[in-house]
Amino acid sequence: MPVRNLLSPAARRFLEGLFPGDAAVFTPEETFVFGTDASRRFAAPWAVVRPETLDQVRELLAFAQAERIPVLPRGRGTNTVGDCVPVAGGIVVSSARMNRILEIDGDDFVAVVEPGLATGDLQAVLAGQGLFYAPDPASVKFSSVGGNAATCAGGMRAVKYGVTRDHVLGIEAVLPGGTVIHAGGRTHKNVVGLDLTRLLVGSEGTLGLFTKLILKLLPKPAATATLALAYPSVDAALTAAGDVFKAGVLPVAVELLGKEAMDAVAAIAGVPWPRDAGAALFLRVDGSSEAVAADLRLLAAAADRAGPVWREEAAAPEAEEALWELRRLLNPASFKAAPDKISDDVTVPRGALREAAAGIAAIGDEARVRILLFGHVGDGNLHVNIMHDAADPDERGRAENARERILELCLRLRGTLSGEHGVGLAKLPFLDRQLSTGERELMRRVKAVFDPAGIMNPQKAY
Amino acid sequence: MSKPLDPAHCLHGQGRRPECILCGRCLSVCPLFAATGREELSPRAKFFLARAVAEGRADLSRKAAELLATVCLSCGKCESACPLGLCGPDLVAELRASHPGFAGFLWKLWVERAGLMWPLARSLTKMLPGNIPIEAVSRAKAAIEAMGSGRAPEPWLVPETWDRRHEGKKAVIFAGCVAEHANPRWKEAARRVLAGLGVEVLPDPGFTCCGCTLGHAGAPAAQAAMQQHNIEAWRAAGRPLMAVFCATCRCGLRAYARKDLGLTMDELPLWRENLVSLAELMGATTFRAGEAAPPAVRYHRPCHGAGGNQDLDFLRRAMGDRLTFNENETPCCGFGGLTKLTSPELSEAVASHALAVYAPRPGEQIVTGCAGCVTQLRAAAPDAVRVGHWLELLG
Repeated sequence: MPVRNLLSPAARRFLEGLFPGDAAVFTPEETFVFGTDASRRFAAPWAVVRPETLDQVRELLAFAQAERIPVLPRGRGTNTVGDCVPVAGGIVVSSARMNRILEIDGDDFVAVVEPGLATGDLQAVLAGQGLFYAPDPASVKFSSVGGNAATCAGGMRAVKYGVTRDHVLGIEAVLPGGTVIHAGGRTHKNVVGLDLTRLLVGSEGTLGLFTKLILKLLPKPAATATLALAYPSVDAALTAAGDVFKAGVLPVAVELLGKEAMDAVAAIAGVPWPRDAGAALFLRVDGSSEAVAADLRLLAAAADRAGPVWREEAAAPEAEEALWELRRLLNPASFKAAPDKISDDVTVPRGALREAAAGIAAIGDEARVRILLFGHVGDGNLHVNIMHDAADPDERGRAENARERILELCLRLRGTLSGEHGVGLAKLPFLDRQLSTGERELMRRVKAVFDPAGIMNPQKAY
Repeated sequence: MSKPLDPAHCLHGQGRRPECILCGRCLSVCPLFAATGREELSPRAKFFLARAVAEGRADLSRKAAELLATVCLSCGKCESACPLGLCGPDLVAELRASHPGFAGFLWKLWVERAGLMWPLARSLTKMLPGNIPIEAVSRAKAAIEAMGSGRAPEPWLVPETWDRRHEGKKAVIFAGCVAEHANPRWKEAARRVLAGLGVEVLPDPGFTCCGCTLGHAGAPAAQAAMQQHNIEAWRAAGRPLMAVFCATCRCGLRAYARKDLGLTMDELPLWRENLVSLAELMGATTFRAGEAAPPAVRYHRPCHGAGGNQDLDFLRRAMGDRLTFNENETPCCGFGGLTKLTSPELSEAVASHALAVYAPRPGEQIVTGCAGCVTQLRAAAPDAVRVGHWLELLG
């Protein structure tokens, strides 16, 4: 629903004073892109500001609360659920000019960064120092640390290393009204008080505005190796994934590509697997080079039992890269496979993966829509892309129906609506199927403690 | 002889464009975003706004036109990053070309603010109507002086043994606007190099601008006229080798083979094969470092036409460990497109950002193979850091 620009002339003057020059923009043309994100939804913001200092953010949030103006934190706008879309209007706060690495400490194993820093830029700097920030969402090269924290981004390495929440030690945030809080700190352990850090991570911009993050670093593993396999069916590949976990080795990544996903990649690139294969599994291990070689042998033996029709190992960086490039090509490939897609990131308990995959395939068949199935199966996290042409109302209807049934299926298997994308606007209509009224009410009350006027990214997430 | 170019955005301009999916990959590579943090200047913002204008959801206001049509460096990095292959410079060029008043606006701008773009403007006078007022000429003279050899590095790279594998071949030099009008010493240096290699340099066939910038500027008719002029000149010279030492020119010239400009089926492969970078012709020529050699040299990779990396390969052979190049640090200089004319402060911000990435120490040098990059980085570099075309280093 369109929202009128409710920014008063006085409010505009205030923002122009606090954010001089091009640090504040107001024209519809300039603010247009700040009304959208990778969800491709749109609502017009009233203003966009680009703070560079903590003081600017404090003054802004004091002003916004007093004036009851919505505030929308924005990193690179790469989330897929509408977290950055100003559905209630308001001021978009771009972190593009708070993008510095403030400190890298190789003894404490922490990095202190501003929220607008691209996560990949941090990883590149760390790699040169033998250090490692583990979270690696698919958008790692072009999404921001602040955005990753706000959405608790996952990624392929989550099997072994966990998600963003497991790597944020502390957060400096400004709350509505202008209060600055320092949640957590720079120790790798901390049990003093309630864990506000882990509450803020994944809060989708609804509690406060991050101004500084303290991240946990690890020693960079000396070596990695990759094993790629193809199986006759998704079921066989998922059986193999289960066998792998029984081999006594925790892989860094366990990725699945279903048949349709493999075909989509094959449509834009040369692929090494036989064209009649029904699924592919990509496994990666890391550690010392000796440990990696030994682990790879164990994984290969375990993965063999389900009868792979193709396999390839790679330990040299270029050879590994060539294999993982096939997995990464899936994203661009998926956009060329059909005019439109509905994409979900449902997650089920690891033991329910085979049932989930079989159910999703059956729903796709019944609804006569093509479904690209792939995902981080090591975490039970399935990316379900329902390919369709939205210009055809009948097809769109069948795609939406399939989506709903898939969400229901995953909840029945004791799974979750979203493993890593978040709720934003996209999953909000389905939330009551997973959360009880009491739980949602509790979340709203928690929000009210941080944000009594309800100005932080309103109408989203829970 | 030539490798594929990446990005290839000069080669586009036909067919239906897929719809931007707003994924945000282009923000990470856009030099304007990196230098300013202004997302509204990013390719994603342009595609989003252009679509809204096309569908009538946003007005093509003056502000929108400004954002869409004037602020792009035409570097093409977004095209390489985009999963759908969308090219920001193509979008901008099309919008410019389809806007009826744009050619007049462009010409006026050129005349008023020619400055560093003067060399190109001078080539343009042959193709476009209108006289250049005297004030523009005096401004341009000052700009040319600033651009000239004053702050060029001292020559220090001395050829020892020449690679003579091309001995006896005939070549013409395609010098490009900057060398032709502002830095004739580059052309002289190229002539000496070709002589050393044993290549016979034919008389200048009267080439004009390659047309690359005009294409981006949204003046396709003027661009096509220049392209045809150059093809005729090449034919008249007997279709010889064309030695090029500006990456952007080479990028622009290569694009001829992908358009219908009247090159015959027999001529097409010849055009592609005979269009060679001077660096590539150097082959296994060996060098020694003279007394003026700096402690370290940073290679700046031009956004245009670096796909074959001929300059980098050559410079690595010639300079060895003295040369630094980091694949992850390839900032744009900020010269390209019309931004230098329309928003000089933005163009300067991008140049400053590039220098901040390189962080050269006093006494170090930055070397590149594109006339625009040299001009831009030389103007922005501190006094103690010399920036040059590699031709200027040859002793």
